[in-house]
This record gives sequence, structure tokens and C-alpha cells, in this order.
Amino acid sequence: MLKRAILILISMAFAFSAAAQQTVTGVVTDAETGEPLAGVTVIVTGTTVGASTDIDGQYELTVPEDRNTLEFSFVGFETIREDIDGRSEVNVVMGEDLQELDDVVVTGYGTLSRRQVTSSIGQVRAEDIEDVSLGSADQALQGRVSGVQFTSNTGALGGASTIRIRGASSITASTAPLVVIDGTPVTNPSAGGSGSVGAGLGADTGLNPLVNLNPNDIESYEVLKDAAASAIYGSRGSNGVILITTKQGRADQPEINVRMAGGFTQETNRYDMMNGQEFTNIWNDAGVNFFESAGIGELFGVSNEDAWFDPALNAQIFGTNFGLDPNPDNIESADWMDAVTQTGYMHETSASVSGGTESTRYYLSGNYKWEEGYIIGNELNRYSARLRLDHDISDQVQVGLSLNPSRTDNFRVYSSNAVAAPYTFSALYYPNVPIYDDDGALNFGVAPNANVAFAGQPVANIEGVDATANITQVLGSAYTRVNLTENTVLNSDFSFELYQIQEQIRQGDQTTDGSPNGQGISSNEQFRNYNWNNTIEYANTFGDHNLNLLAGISLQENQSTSFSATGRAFPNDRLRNIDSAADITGATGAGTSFSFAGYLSRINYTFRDRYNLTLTGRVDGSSRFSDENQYGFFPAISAGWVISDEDFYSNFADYVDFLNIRGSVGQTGNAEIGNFAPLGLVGFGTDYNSVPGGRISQLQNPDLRWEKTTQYDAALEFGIFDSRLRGSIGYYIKNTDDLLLDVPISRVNGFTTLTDNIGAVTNRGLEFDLSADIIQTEQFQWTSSFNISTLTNEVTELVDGEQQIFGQNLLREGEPIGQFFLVRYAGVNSENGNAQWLTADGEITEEYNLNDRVTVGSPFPDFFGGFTNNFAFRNLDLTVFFQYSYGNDLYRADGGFTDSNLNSLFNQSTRMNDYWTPENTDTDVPRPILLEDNGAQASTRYLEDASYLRLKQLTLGYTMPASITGNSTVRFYAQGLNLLTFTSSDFNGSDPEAASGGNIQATDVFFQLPQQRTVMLGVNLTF
Amino acid sequence: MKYLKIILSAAVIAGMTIGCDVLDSPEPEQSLPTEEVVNDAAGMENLVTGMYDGLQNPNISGGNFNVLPEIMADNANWTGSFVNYARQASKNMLPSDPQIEGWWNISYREINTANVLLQSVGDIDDPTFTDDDRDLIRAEAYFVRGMLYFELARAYSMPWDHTADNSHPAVPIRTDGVEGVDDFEDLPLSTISEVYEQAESDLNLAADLLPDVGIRDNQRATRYAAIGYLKRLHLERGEYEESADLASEIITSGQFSLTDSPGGPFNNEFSTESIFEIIHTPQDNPGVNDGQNAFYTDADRGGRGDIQFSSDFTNALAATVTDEQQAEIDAAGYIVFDTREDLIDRDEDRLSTLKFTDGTNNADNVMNMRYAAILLTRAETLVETSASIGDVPEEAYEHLNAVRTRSIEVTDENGFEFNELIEFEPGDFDSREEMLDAILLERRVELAFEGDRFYTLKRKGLSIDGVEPDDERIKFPIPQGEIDANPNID
Repeated sequence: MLKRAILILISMAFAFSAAAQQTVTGVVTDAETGEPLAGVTVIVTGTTVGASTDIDGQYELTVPEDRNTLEFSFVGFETIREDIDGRSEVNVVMGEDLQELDDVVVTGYGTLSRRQVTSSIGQVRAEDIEDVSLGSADQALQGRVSGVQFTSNTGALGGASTIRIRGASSITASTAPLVVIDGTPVTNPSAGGSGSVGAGLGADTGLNPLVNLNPNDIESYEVLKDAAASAIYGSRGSNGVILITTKQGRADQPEINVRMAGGFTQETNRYDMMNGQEFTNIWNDAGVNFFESAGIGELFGVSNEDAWFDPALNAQIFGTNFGLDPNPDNIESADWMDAVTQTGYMHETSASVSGGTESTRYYLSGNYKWEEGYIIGNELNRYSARLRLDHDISDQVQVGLSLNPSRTDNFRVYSSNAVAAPYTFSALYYPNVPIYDDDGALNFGVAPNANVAFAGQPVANIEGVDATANITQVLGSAYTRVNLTENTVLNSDFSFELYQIQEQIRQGDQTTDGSPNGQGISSNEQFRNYNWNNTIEYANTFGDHNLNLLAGISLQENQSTSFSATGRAFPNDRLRNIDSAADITGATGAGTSFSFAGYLSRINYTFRDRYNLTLTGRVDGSSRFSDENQYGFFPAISAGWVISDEDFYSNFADYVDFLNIRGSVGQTGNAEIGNFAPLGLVGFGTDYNSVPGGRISQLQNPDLRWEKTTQYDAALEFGIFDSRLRGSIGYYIKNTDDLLLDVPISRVNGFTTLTDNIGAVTNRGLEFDLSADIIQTEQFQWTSSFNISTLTNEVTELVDGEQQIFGQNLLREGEPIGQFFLVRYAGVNSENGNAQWLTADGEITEEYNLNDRVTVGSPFPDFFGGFTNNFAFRNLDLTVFFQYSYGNDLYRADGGFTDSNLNSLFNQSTRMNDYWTPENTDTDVPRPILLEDNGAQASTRYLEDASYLRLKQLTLGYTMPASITGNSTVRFYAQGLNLLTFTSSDFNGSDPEAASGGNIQATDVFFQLPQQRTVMLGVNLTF
Repeated sequence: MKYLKIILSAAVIAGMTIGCDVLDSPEPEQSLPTEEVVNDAAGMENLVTGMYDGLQNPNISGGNFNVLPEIMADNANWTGSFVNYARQASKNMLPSDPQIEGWWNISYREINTANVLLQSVGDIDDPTFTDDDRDLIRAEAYFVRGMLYFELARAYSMPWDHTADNSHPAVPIRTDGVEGVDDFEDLPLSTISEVYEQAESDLNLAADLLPDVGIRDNQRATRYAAIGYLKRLHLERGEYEESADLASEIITSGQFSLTDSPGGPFNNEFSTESIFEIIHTPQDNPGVNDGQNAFYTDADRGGRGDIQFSSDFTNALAATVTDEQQAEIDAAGYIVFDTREDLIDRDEDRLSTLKFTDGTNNADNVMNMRYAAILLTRAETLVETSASIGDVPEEAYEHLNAVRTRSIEVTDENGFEFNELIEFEPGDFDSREEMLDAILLERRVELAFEGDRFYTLKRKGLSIDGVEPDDERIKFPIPQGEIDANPNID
């Protein structure tokens, strides 16, 4: 009896120990169709043990002892938690998640579920930008994420953009956010620069470094806005971080996607310049007025008009006859702006195939885009390919590889402040000069008013100038993920980026810059970027407590080299290369490098699934800092409370079914100082008589360190009506100090300025996001999303409280960065046509004095954001996306040329037709006097309200019925980008969306190319 | 499998320990750390060359040392579009004018280089670096510092006699070098007397240490350049005896001689007449918008043509032959021609000087000091130190004539020369003043467009283009940037 009992006991003991590890299998099916769901992630809750379902929806897991819950998650479906309760087979039916279509949010070095997010992270997903033909991958963020202000600097293809996340927190250092692609921080080429690469053709119109990235490869963008989110990036998180996650394969049948689109491009706006007749009228009137003010008529005893129209007398004054023949029959009229613009064509083809088995998943894609801009000669071709492989070597070890080579060929145009810029030069060139002469050849003749300022003419400058930039980029990475134990994962990934930009600029004999015998510039710049991240992650659940610990080390090294050569005196325009130049007038070659090493850690703690706490800390070091200040510590803490999960809340659940309150505070840095800023350096190249020389170029400043930002953030997230209406409202305060500023010093010391950490700036704002599923019936759906952000920027500390003036912009304590500082224009004195200004006290005067400058207008918007509406009716879908900005001004420096009532001797805007005459006294255009400053001085006359509302995207699509296409999807669509722009009546520029780069004078623009309107038809096939 | 896991884990953990090395590897590629350079013989040489490169800067001796005083005086007019130069010419300079800031900033930048060289050259520990090498570096540094302090004081202060004890303000003096942030100081203005003393001391040391040759292999400053600057300094202070002696030293050295034609020093670099030139080359020059070639060379020859000679100047040129001499020449039936006419272009579209004509490459050297000036100074100082016209030594007439006969030709119809007809001899002048006038006229015409006229008028107490020398308008204002940054200067 006893023996048997012991045997039973022993066998029971074995049975128990056998049950210490249990194998669970099951099938996951789709609630709606009943079909098995492949690629569903099944995790044992509280561990890192997981698997994916295969093609048949089946999974198999080895569940550790004392664990009882499985968690099933899949994009687009509601996450299900199911208790095992001793079963060996757990089947689950998953229903579509209409409310939160994505539960997973990518954070630095990991992911979180949306419920656990305690920091401020904005998100744009692939479906939000599906089938939209973006100029560059970063444009997806425009108007879609609160707190993010995106401005395209120019309408030239591939042009750089200015992104500001929660305002501008630097004055001399860069305000560009850190861009991380799949864990790799990518090239930020110019430390302290505007985030552009390549030559500036005309004022600062460099290229966008992200132009090679194929937007179709991107799964999601996460914008880390507050310190808690970006502190994990330590000394580079101050300006926010943009995480780009690329698509990967799923264990499923291969899915092939092909998209083709084609269309045309146009300018959204064009300056309205005078024609030949109008120009002749104002020219002659201005000339007569000039004679009057110079007393010429009196001198010769004739009327001023007679004097002006007397060729001999006129020639006596000017050297040659400046008068124009007023006879309309003799006046030519040429439309120069028309001659340099065109309707461009574009075409894009994208294809991808993804799929996999349970152990291996792949994603392969290719993209070709060819686009012509609206300026003749502007063209951009992009070729890109990507391969992503993920393979499970065993249950515990996973490896993966990603490779993305790409190339863009950009046939560039000069823009802004350059005579070679077609848009600029054609706006200003004389309309009374024919473009071609009688033989059909380009006309280089002198204008009838005998004033020739520059060699060449606009059409010759387009035909004779070639500026090509070829950018080759290869992004590659490999990773290993090891499940050390059931709770611990080790992750190591290594990535590299090779970025090479090769530029060839060739200006022919007859162009302005190339005359008399041509000029060529050849340059090459290469960046090599290496990253190695190693992390350990520990996840465990103890009863109601859920803990996730992360620790890691992140190393980055970046090297760059550059070279360029300039040659002049080419024998023939057809010879493009420097070898053919008779005279090599200059050559440069340089190199630099920097590195970062960071030790990061993060603790995520959740109690009862509704109280979340996150602590982050990173110790960051960089080669850019001196030995005394090599490392900095960047901590952050954030917490959240899902109020709606509380028991006491059930009474309110009928009204607001989801309520989450969160807040954070933390510290980040901006390390965009020069690569060797604290060192005392002697620079070379200062040679004399061919003997090499050097000079002290930089003073030793061992205290120089990164800028520091402390940020406070609080937000409320809510869901109403069963979360059909959901959103969040938040407020942030961002204080940045230790700003890098150039402090003027006594020049007797041998230097004029010293860079020191000495200023402070504050940014504050409100962010409001709202999404609504307004109508959700079977036939018709309407969803809408809206975001609005406010921004207040203020410089709180400068050196000794001194203000600094940069052109039309100001740095002063109490004002935003780059506040406008101008004399106020007060119209025209109706009695004599003279321009009037306001003195500093507000009195009207005809005397222009720089001492009357006051702060006026605002370089930052009061609020900005976007508004998207998606409609679906049976097989049709319509997306309407508006983007807006309100309260920001631009200083249109080209006004001093186009609206100068002939102070500048170039063509004038048609607004100048309303110039003051004794018959036309009620106008605000002053009396034109040739060569005289009557109202053309810098003033608020050229400060314009650049608020705008733009129909950014309109897409109408038709998906063929499933009855015809079966398992495949075929969708046709018509799309328009930048179709409509509404600006303030005050705005006379070419585009309210323009920036000049830099932080202080970004709002001082000069002939920026307007944005491009694109209309296209496309088809998207998935099978 | 189990081993694979261990290996991979071990590799990952190993990777975590490499952090620190990564931060040390980046190093600047186009620059060297300052401590390395100032402690190394080759580095010292580089800095000296860099200092001369600084002298090439068009804000100082590479251009504006010539251009600015010239447009302020009566030989030249500014007709170009740069309004700041127009203000300079009309003697209405603003403290914020870029050329005012530039002359000051670049001068002090190179003075600092000289200071750093002087304070570090003694400490270099290198057996191959001999005392002679050190002395040569000191010599270059003293020369440049002395020259720059002199030119700063001359420009940014009122004339020497403006106050009885020469205590009116000039510029700050700094003689220790700045290498790091901790070395900064805010110095007040020193007096003109103190600054000239500093310059004199530096130039004396330079004269002792610089090579005693007419021209060096590397064409840099020689002992005679330093002596020439000392001579200028004494002239500024009205010390005619000392400057007479210094001029004599240069003349008796036998190292220099006048070229055959007045264009000689300008058409040939480092001619026999050249004592100190700043070198510009086609690859290394101020460019098309700055510097001597940009402003003086007319548009037809590739320049901007911003500076034209005045009618005052052409009148002076016509007056080099006195009425008496003209009468004699006419009576003999000869023709007289001042070949300095060939150095100007009278075409009304140009009105340019032809001393600087390289509009293609902008590479004409800047003539800082030449022998003709030394001869004229010697003549002038001999007259000034003589009690009366009868006491003026023959040497004075010799030198004046040497300069004249080089340029003015008297020929008969067969081409034979009779240059003695334009020579002066004792008895031609009734008073010292008359002879001084003749010497100054010759100086004006000979050294036109070389930056001398303004300073000559100023030190002689003569009015400059209508403005008296005691008028503050002739003094360069202290730059706005300095006033803003230096609490000890207002």
C-alpha cells in the first residue's frame, strides 16, 4: 500500500516536473472571413518567448513554468490576451481593430505598445502616404504631426527642407532634428549648418540629404518630440528625433506590389512682371522725373520731358541715350519667364515583393522615378533598391540583413541670388528686348534703354549651364538577436552608410558666369558613417508589476572627405571636363571626422497595466567635446496613468471611454558644434610666394560643450464614443541654454569673435491632435484627422543683453530668434508722390532713417498644422489633405528689385503700374525716379504675411471589385499635389513656403522658386 | 547550438567595452593643434609665412595701405560704386565702414602672430634650430609688428603735433600673444607717443637682425626695409636729422639704384629700385573686387576703374618743368617730355594710372617702398636741416636731379639728350621754402598713387584736398566693433 502510494507520488512529481515546460500550439483565424491569419505575433506575456503564425495560421510555443497568458497581436487587429489554463491547444479568433489601427509604437532602441507610451511621440504610417509621390521622404511629416513645422526651402527638385520640431532651440548651431533610419543615425553633413548637401547654387539652395530614400520602403515615421522620448539619444536629442522604420517581410504567401504613376508638373505661381509697353511707360516717366530732380531741364532751358526724349541731350547726361521710344509700334515685348519655364513630366515605377516562411522572411523592392521640374532643364532621376532578410537560426537566435543602394541624378538649376538663376534673371530682364534675333539665334543685344548690367541673358543661362549632382548612397546593416533566457534578449546591430555626392558644373561661353570662355567646377564629397549598437533587454512580470529594462552601448564614427577643382578658358562649350580647361584656377581637398559613444539605459515599469513609469538615462561622449567636458549625462523621467482603466471610472466610461494622462521632464543636448571646436588650431593654406604658411585659426576653449535643453511636457489622451473620436491635447515648455554664440571681443586680441556657450532660448506651445471615424457604414466611410500646434519662441539670454542685427533680422532678449527689425513704410504722400515712413515714435516722415527701426511682424507662425479627410464609398476613395500655417511673415528681399519703382534698373512687377503721377495720387506706389531711392529702401514695404492654407494632396481612387480581381487588388487613382494655395492678400511673393536656411535669417527670402504642382494618374497592383 | 548562443553573447558583450577608443580617433585633418606648431621649428616657419600672407590682405599692405590714403588726398578721385570708399575719399568715414574695421582687425591679427612668435621662439627645443634661425624669426616678427603699429598709429590718430606733448590717443598696444581664451584683455588706447616708441623699438631690433642685403632669396623684408620704415617714423615726428641719417644709410649701401624709366619698378617685380614689395600672384591675390588692381586698373584693362586721377594731379605733372627751364628749352629749340605721362591714360573714359595694369590676373605686386622715395626724402631732410638756402649741400640737388632726369627727357630733333636743362643747381631757388616746394612737387608726381601724398601733406601741416590737418575728419575713426566689444574704449 505504501509502496504504491510512493510510486504514485513519485510519478506525480515527475508529472509535475514534466509540466514545468509546456508546449502549446494553436491556430489563429480572422473573425470576419474565418481564414487563417499568418504572421500573427504570439508572445508569452511577461517573457520574451514568442513566435509567429505560419501560412496556415498555426503556431507552436514552449511556455515556461508559472506562465499562463498568451498575447496575440497583429497590425490592424485587436490584440487578444488568452489564458492557457493548462490547455495544450489554444485557438484564437482575432477581430479587426477599428479604433487603434496600430498598437505598436517605435521608440529609440525598442518598441512599445501605445498604452504604455508616456512620452510625446508623433506617428505617420505607410498607409497615410500610400501612393503619394513625395519629392523626398521627409515631406511625409508636413502637416501630419503636431509640433512639427516643415518648410521646403525651394521649389527646385531635390531641394533641402527646414524641419523644426517644437520650435528653434539654437541660434548658431543646427536646429535640424536627428534622423535615424532603422537604428542608424544618418549623415548630418554640415555641423552647425542647415542640413543640406552639395553646392549652394545661388543663396543656400543645397540638396536634401534624404532625397535618395524611397518613401515606398518606409513602414512608419515616429517623431520623438519631448525629452523623455529623445533623451535616449542623449547629446543629439535637443532638436527632436525622427525615427524611420523600413518595411520587412512577414511569414506569408509572397505579396507582390507594383505601382506606376505618371503625370505632369507646373509652377504653382509666377511673378507678374511688366510687358514691353508698361516698362517703357514707367521707364520714361522715371527718366523725366530724374531730369526734374537733377534740374536738367532748367540747365538746358527746355522742359524736362523734351530733354528726356531728345536723344542727343539725353546722351550728354548719361553717356548714351537712356530714353525709350514711346511709339507702341516700336516696342518689343518678350515674356522671359515663359521662356525659361515649361510643363514638366514625371513618371514613377515601384515594385516590391515580400513574404517568407516561419523561419525566414524577406522584403525586396525597387523604385525608379523620373521627374522634370517646371524650370527648363531641371530634372531628377532616382533609382533605388532594397533587400531586407530576417532569419531565425533557432528558437533563440535571429539574424537579419538589410541593404539599400540608391542613386539620384539631379540636373539642377540655380535659384535665388544669382544671375545664373533662370527664375531670378528672367523676372528682372528687360521685357522690351526680344529673346531671339531675326535669324533665330539668341539675342545678346544691348537693351534699348542702353543699360546692360550683366553679360548673358536668361535663356542663354539655361541653355549654357549644366549643373549636375549625382548622389550615390548605400545603407547597409546586419543584426543578431539572441534570447539568452526567456526574459533576456541581447541585440547587436552594425550598420554603415556610404554617401557620395559628385557635382559637375559647367558654364558656357555665352552665360553670365562663364563668359568669356567658359568655367567648369568639378567636385566630390564622400561621407562614411558606421554604427554599432549593442543592447540587453530584460522583460518580466511579477503579479501586477511589469518591468522592462534596457541597457546598451551605441558607437558611431563618421568620416568625410571632399575635393573640388575649378577651371577656366575652355576651347569649346561641348568639352565638359576640367581636363579641357586651359587654366586650373583653384583646387581644394579636405577631410574631417567625428565620433560618438553613448551608454544608455531605460526602465519601463507598468503597474496593473494602467500606471506607467519610464526612466531614461544616457551618458554620451563625443570626439567633438574637449577632454574636460567629454561626457554628459542626459536623464529623463515620464509617467502616465490610464484613468479609464480605474474602477472608479466606470461611471464616466459611457462618455469618455479612454482617458490617459501623462507627463515628462528631461534633459537632452545639441552636439552640432564644429568637429574640433574646443581645440586651439593652426590652419594652413595661408601661403606666401608659393611657400606654405599657417595661421592660428581657432582659439583653445576647453569649456566649450554641447547646448542643453530641459523640456517639460504634459498631455491628456482621450477616446470618446467608443473611441470613434480620439485625440490628445498637450503642452510643452522647452528651455535651452548654454547656446553657442559668437561673442564679439576686443580685436586687439587678434580675433574678432569667440564662440562660447552663453545664450538661452525658450520654446512653448500647445499641441492638439484629433481623429474621428465620423461615418462607418458598410457602403460609406468618412474618417478625418486634424492637428494644430501653437508656438512661442523667445530668446531669453544673449551676451551682456546686447542685441545683434543681421540684415533685416534681430537677436534680442525677449524677442523670437530672427525677429524682424525694420523701418515702417507709411505709403505715399499724395501731394508729391514721395515715399513716407513712420519714425520710431510713430510720426510720418519723408526721411528714411535706420534709427527708426522697430520690431515688427513675426518670423514664427502663431499656429500651424494639417487637416485630412478620407472618404470611401463602395469602391471609390477620396483623400483631401490640407496643410496650413498662420501668423508667420516673410521678408521678401527681392522686393527691392521688383517693387522698387525703378530704383533698381530692372523690370518691375505689374504692381508698379500704379505709380504716383499728378493724375494718379491715391496709390501706395511712390513716384518713380530713375536711380533714386524713393521707397526702395529696406522696410516693412517688403515684409509680407506668409500665412497660407494649401490643398497639399487630393487623391481620388477606384479599387476594382474583388469579384473581378479575386485575391489581387487593383486600384486606379488620380492625384494632385499642391493644387490650391490660399495666401493672405498682403502676400506678393512666389510662394509662402520658402526659407533661406540658417536660423536667424531663414525668413529673409530672395526669389525663392515656388513649389511645384503635380497632377498624375496611377495604378497600384497587389497580388 | 548552445555554443553558438554563448559565442554570440560573448561577442556582443565584448563589443560593449570598446567605447572609449572610438572617441580618440578623429583628428583635425587640415589643421594642427596650436601647441604643436608653436613648439616646433617648422611650425614657426609656417607661422612666419602665414604672417606675410596676412600682409597680402587687401585691407592692409596688400591694398588699402596704398588705396585709402591716396583717395583721401588730391591726386586721385574715387568714382566707383562702393559707398564706403566714397565716404573715405570725402573724409566722412563711419566707424562701421568695412575698410576702417578691416585695417584695424587684420593689423591686430598679424600683430598677434608676431607676438606669439616672439614669445615662443625662445622655448623651442630642437638642436637643429640654431640661434641664427631664432634671430631671423624674431627679426621678421619685429619688422611686421613695428610696421603695423606704425601704420595703425599714422591712420587712427591726429598728426604728431596735434598736442604739444604728443599725448593724444592713438591705438592700444599689446605685445604678448593670445593663444587661448584665458589670454584676452580689454586694453585702452595708448598715446601716439607711446605707440611710435613701440614701433621704433621693434623696427630697430628688426634692423639689427634682418639680413643686410638689397633683396633676399625669398623676397621678404630686409634690413633696409626696416630702416626705411624707421625713416618714415622719424619724418612723422618731424625729426629731420635722424631721418636724413637713415636715408643716407640706404643710399650709401649701394644696394639700390633707380631704374631707367619711371615705369621700371612697376613693370618688373623686384627691380633695382625696389626696397619692399608685397607679392601677389595669379593664384594668390585679392580678386576682382578688392585691392590695387581692382580699383586702379580701368575697365578696358579688366579692372573696375574706380580710381581716376584728378585734374590737380595733371596740373602738378605739367608743373615739373619750371617756367625758367621751359624758357631755356624753348630758346634752344628742344623738346621736353616728362615720361611719367606714359604712366597715365588721359582718355576721358579711363583717366587711369598705368602703374598697375594687370586686370586679367589681379597679380601686380604692391610697391611699399622704393629708392626714389629715399632720394627725395634725403633731399627734403637736408633742406630742412639747413639754416638757409645757401647752406643746403650739393647732395640735395644731386638726389632731386637724379629723380628728375630719370623721368624728364629733353631732346633735340635728332634725339640727342640734354637733360641737364631740367636739373636744378644752387642758386635756382631763392629760399628753402621754394626748394622744398620743388621737392614736394617732385615727390607728389613721382610717388603718385602709391599711398604717400596723404601722409606728406599731413606731416607738413598742409591742407588735404580742402581739409585742414587739425580737422578730426582726417583721422580714421576707432572701428565700431572695437568700441562695442571693448569697455575701455568708448
